[in-house]
Amino acid sequence: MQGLFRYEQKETVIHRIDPRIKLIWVFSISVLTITAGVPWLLVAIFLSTLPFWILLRPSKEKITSIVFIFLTMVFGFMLSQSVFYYWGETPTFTIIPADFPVIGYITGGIHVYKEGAVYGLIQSARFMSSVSAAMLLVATTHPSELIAGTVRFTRIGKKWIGFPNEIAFMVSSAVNFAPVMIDECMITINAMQVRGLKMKGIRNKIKAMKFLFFPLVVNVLRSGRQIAIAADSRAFRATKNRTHFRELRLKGLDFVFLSYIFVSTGVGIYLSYIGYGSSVPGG
Amino acid sequence: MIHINNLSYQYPDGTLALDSVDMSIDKGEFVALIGKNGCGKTTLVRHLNALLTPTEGSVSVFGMDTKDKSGVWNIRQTVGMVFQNPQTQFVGTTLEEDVAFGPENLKLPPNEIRKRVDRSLREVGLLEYKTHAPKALSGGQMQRAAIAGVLAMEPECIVLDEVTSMLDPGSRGNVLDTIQQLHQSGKTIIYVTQRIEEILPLADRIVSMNNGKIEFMGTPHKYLASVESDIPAITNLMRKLKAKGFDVRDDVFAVDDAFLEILKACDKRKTETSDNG
Repeated sequence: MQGLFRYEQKETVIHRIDPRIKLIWVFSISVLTITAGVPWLLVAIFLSTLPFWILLRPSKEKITSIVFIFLTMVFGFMLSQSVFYYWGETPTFTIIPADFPVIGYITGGIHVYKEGAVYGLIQSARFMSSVSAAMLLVATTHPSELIAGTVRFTRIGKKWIGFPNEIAFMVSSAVNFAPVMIDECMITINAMQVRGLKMKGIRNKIKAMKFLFFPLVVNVLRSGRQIAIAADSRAFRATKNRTHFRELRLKGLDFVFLSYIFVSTGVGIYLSYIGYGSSVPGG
Repeated sequence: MIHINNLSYQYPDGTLALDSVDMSIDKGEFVALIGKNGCGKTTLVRHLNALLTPTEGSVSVFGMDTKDKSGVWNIRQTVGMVFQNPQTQFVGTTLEEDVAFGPENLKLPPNEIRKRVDRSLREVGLLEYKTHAPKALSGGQMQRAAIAGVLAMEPECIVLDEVTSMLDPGSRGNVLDTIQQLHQSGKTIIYVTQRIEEILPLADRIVSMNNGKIEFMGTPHKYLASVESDIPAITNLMRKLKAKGFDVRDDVFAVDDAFLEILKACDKRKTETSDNG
């Protein structure tokens, strides 16, 4: 499960695409999932992400995890929406009738609606498409490229448009610091275990959190300060617009993929406009 | 190059960390700053690149007063600093990105940054690891990578604050070799440590601190002559030999020098015995 949102160092076509173009793609998929409203169109949007997974060739373990997550999403959405579908008129069947003591009176009865299940399917397809695209983005883009893409998304004159450098610094420091923090956390737990702290069972684990919290917070603050001093001593924020050793330049492949994004987004939005778009359920 | 005049520093909680410190460091010099925990070593070196500014007195780097805020970035470009914990000095997700961090902040053109990144990583012997994540490196490699990050800013002087204290002996040796090479290439080195034995063969000058004050400043040999305890094992051995009547120098700290001294003393004894016989 841990590897679901992890970069995979490979030499595939999608790895070679500029991070900014991939960000646009994820955004366009998200927009299409909102504008589209019929199941076949949403399934088509989800299916459009699959060829890139085939190009990536993830491990069997990763595929199993992804399928598990997606199936959980589908059944979770279908189940919850079929029961809590607000706009349902004719229940397919009833779990708890309205005249059932206490629960029936409070809830007005719990019914299962077929329209709710279909709506859940639609919602899960929306969610799966965006998650699939986001996972592909992370799996095929090195964190440093992703950060560079968000900081220098586009240029107007001499000014880069994107997230501030401070945010990029924060994110890249966090990427580096996370494993250190986990190590420190384990050391603190071990130190407490040798002094008699019990870690078996959920209740003991929750109790242990109380002892773990303060040393961890103090360590994080101390290390954060050290990182800030190290950055300061290397002239961080000495100039307003720092330069970047890795230049972002769009190549032929990027333009091909950008054209694909424009065409597919255009077709999707047009289809939504002519009657396959999303509408308020029951409306 | 660096002039420290009557420097005193008091932390906001009232602790007087430095008390009337005076010293100068010449270009190309290798100065070792030693002393016990809390004696003010780190506070002193943090004044050298304006991370701290004096409560009293002044610090001047190539004529730039560290109190003058307009010169802070020039000072930080002139005096680079490497810290004790290698894991809390990385800001890039790959080695080359981390090394590029300083030159990027100095607004250098991309091709110049690329040249500096490659050159710095080559100098510390880590060029082949440039696309690796810092966490994938060993402790010693991490510390050498941190040195590369400072080198890429092309400083005149490098301050190393207890950089080997968290390393195993092998990694420590590699880091010390790198530092020695940098010194030989003309860099001014200010090395903070508690391990006197590792720095004696390298340093031109030893500065010993105690309670925020400088208590000794001089050559490694003079330093050894001035102390009774906390001396390297080799020096201790030579002192014991001298006490037993062997004609050896007792300010020796290098194994090779000690070996030659002992050989000479043994030869002398042999000659004396045969003359007497």
